[in-house]
Amino acid sequence: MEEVRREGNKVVVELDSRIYDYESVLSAVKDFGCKAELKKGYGFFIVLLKGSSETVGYEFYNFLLDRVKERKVM
Amino acid sequence: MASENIEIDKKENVVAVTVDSKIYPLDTILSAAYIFIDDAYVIITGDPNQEVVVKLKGKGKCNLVELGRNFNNELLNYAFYAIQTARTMPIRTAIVQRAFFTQSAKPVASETERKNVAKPEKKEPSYLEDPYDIAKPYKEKKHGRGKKRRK
Repeated sequence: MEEVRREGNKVVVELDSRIYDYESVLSAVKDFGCKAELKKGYGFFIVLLKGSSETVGYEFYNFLLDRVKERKVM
Repeated sequence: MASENIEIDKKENVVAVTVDSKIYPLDTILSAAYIFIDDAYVIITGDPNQEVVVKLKGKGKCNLVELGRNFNNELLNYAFYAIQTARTMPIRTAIVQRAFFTQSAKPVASETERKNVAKPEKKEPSYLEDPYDIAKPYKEKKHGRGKKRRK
């Protein structure tokens, strides 16, 4: 899937900013287990995760969903 | 029965469910997706004003069609819950308000007022009544068993 891809020893995660709000992404990046870096793009956020497997990226998506739900869902 | 909104990619082990966000709002979609985080990796993309695509990538071997259909059911479940919550909101607010009102309706008595309130007199038992049978002379009870007294 194009939302998660591997670049060298980093995993790149692209997040749609219409779905995931900035505060939730920031909170997830801060608290996610491995080393993460956040970049802002036009209409999306890019999170660079240190890891060799794409599974880290998918795990991050689930972690982020947990944060989003905490913030704005009943 | 083929589902119109489900697309399956067996190679990637992914099922993509397309959701019309005019029918299901983003909050409902997020709530439904949250249920699946134990079984699948959840990726949500698309426009929340038109169409949202929820991609569920199975963590292990799983039935992708079933996963997609279960997601549709969860969507319906949360949509119904949201409607019911909105419908019962006024009555729940009224109940909470009533609860607070009932608590604050009792005036809080000040310290002086509390002291001035006459306490009900306790009726102390009179010594003439002898409630503990103190006035009765002591008598040894006769028991059948046990050692006899020495004379």
